[in-house]
Amino acid sequence: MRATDTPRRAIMLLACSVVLSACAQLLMKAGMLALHGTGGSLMQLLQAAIQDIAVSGLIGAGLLCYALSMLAWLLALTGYRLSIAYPMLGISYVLVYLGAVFWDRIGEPFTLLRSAGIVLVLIGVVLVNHRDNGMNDSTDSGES
Amino acid sequence: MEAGLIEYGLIALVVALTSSGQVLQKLGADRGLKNAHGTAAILRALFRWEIILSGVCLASAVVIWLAVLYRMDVSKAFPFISSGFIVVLLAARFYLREAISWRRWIGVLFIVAGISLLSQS
Repeated sequence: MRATDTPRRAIMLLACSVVLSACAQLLMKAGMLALHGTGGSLMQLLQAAIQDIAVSGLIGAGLLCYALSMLAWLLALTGYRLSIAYPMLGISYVLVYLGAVFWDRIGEPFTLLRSAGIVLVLIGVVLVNHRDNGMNDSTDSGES
Repeated sequence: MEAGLIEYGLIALVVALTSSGQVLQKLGADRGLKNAHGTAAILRALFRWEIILSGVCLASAVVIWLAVLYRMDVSKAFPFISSGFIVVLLAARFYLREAISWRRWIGVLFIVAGISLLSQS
């Protein structure tokens, strides 16, 4: 599938959805890390999360990204077959890994095994997008 | 943490719920959003039963997933979860009747393998 087959709008929306969902995961993870060290009951945790601007800001931004990602995803689906769009979510796992490694708030270690995972996902994404897969037109999906 | 039948059952449930959620979202997108023009029409299309039900599926999947994570390591659980990519493709092929080339099947296998590696700490 090339840009000529799929509406530009759908491609942009899918890209936004993938990036936003990775941002959502990273922001929520950073928020939970900032919460770390606050012990105690669930109520105490909730209270700390609301009172701490860093925690509530990060988690709030994460939830916002998540909602926007979902909206972009639904709109993108109108222009894509599910069997092409869904595998593209694999890219967001790659972005989450890279973000977790390079964003010092999270700072996860870079490992050879996980980096090999990136290569496999990207090979898969290229194969899924290969030329002979057209876009979704109304005649070949949604009817069963 | 030793994973048993209950854990794998819960994982299967998570995969079933997320895959159903995806199919429902696609149905909702095709039946409602595709022909919705303007903000009001899009908002109305977001409240179709397919989209609402997909939200219920995905939300319950998250809750069950948290229960799984409480009982086993994410690096052990995630490779099974990523098999959802294959389930979604099967649903797209046999329920939504999408044509899927062998190249795309192989591509998804690469993605599942890659995500399994990415989840290893």
